[in-house]
Amino acid sequence: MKKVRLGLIGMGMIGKLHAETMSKMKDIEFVAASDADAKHQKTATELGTKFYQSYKEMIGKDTLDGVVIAVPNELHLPVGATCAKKGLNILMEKPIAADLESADRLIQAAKENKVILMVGHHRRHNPMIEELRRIVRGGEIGKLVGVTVLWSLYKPKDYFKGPFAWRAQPGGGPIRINLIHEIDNIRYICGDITRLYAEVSHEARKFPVEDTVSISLRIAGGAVANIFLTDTAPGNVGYEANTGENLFFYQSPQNCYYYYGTEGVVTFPGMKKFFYRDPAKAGWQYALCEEGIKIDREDPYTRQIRNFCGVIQGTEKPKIDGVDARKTLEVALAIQKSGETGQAIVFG
Amino acid sequence: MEKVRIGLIGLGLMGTPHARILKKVEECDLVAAAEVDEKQKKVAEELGIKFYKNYEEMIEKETLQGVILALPNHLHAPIGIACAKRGLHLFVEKPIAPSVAEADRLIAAAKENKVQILVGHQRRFSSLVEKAREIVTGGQLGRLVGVTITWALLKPGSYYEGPLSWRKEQKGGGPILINLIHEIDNLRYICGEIDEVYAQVSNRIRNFPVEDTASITLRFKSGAIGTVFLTDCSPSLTSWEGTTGENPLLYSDFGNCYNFFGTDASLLFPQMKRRYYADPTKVGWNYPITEQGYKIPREDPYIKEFSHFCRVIQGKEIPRTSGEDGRRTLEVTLAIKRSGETGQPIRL
Repeated sequence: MKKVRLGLIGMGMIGKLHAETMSKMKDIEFVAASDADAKHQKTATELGTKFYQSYKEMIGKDTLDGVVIAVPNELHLPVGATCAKKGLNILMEKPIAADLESADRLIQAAKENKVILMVGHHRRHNPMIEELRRIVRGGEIGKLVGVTVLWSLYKPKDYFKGPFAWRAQPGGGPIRINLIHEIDNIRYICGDITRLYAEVSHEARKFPVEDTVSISLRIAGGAVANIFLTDTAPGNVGYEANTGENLFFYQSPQNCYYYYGTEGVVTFPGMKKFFYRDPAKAGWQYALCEEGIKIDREDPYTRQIRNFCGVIQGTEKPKIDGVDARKTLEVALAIQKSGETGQAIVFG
Repeated sequence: MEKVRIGLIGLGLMGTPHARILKKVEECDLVAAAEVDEKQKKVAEELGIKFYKNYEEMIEKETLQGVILALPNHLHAPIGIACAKRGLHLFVEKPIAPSVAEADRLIAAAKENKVQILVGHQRRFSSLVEKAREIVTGGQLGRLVGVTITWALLKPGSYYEGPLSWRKEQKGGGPILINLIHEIDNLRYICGEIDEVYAQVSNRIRNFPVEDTASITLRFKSGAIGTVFLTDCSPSLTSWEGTTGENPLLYSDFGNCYNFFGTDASLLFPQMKRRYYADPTKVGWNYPITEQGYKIPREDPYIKEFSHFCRVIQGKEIPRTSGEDGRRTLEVTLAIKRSGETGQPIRL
């Protein structure tokens, strides 16, 4: 089969990660990369790919099957729509767009031009998350009762400084940047969210943007979930701090998710299952059994690009398409709104 | 100093262990017990205390300073008021009463008759809780931004059967009123006043009139926020009972069930591990985090609690959980139940 020819738009923190990932993959052709900032030419050269300062020039000159787009959120729609018109398949970084209207227009543009729109909620490609989904949906822990999610990582002061000052402003905070991943994980593993309420606080940093959020969710089927998130406490608990997926973050061996079922409990990323072996001896006075779940670790970013290529070649379905990613964004925005209005939000 | 003369009202499931503990309390002279069920007379004989079938007779004939009420909740106010009128100090098991209105009547009667009320939230006497309170209120976590609590375990089928089937009923039964009230009281004691609650409540697993699962968000007066996940139908040890080992009849893995998050440090409870960045120039999610432990003495909270009651009667101490305090814990707990029914947040 012909190798899939990919281009990259945007070489910031996450774009660079995509570039490194694609340059290491033998089964694809990483044709070119572009970024408005010429300083990224160096990285492109090091990784053995062409560099353009203008993405329009790149998609005009090079023959590509698809593009990975990692530009600031408000550019997702214009850049995505331009690529769609060129007939290019799209892997768009999360969130799908800056707001729901832009998401709709992007989905429409992809549809009209008959291109694939996949969204970079890369955690869906983590084998541990896939296994968790299989366990929960396959009934291995009985009926799902509830889920708890913890995310407490301390963002350093310089995270909000200089060119990143926008992160202290509304919309630039942990709800859209970090929490959206947690929402997508819950949706992927358990199903759609039907109702939510959130307490949102910015008391600690006193920035216009939130720093701490506590949430109660209801999931289709009736299970409930709690999410607690703060980026201003030295907790070192949370997906990034516990899974070892990105070693930039200091790692602590702790569980950040608990999935509670009627027949068992699974912890993540410890990947242990807890249950009572003897149904006649099930209850709080008895010892609980513990079983490890074996997982082969694999880099989710590589698997994500591979899935994108498979979709382009027509051999795979996208792990998350535009419509699905729009729902994740909708929930994240609803959390923000619930925090502002003090009202519970119900999804139709 | 002379010992404090105490009478016990109720020598059943709860009162009997209380009587045995009271015999061990140095400051206490357990004089007599009253119980409608005459079969319990043998317990009194075994402990060498007088037995009355009628509590009114006991408080009339004996010269007592205080009484301990180990009775069904609906009897707390009527019997408590009768004892207060005789000038007896009151120890009332939690919850102070089934309703806030009844709690108010009891509190007013105590005030009129100048007697003290101590409400039996015995966890306030746990050395673990005492230490956590010292750490949080002493500022060792910096400014508290949030707290998460999980209370997830499996109650065996027998818990809700036979004479205990009232636990299934809305009037006084269910894990919110029976179990969560302890977590709420702990939170109030450690973190301060709660002024807003929201809850999603479900009974879809056990299908009893009462809830089996709840997902809750809280807001504290201080601005901190929190989540509580509660279920009594999942094979889990992530609960007070399953982690502290304070109840020798229940299985415990000595894990954690609470997380406290502050701007300077976080605390895992009950393992009592405090996490913080040791080097002030290396603060943030990419830096190693330091973990500090605390040595906690193992003490019996019930002995401490009853001995405190005696010292309250002697005028040496003020009640750790006054009537007003117990009433507020009840009020917050009932608000959680109501929020679950109405689907709306409740501001207290």
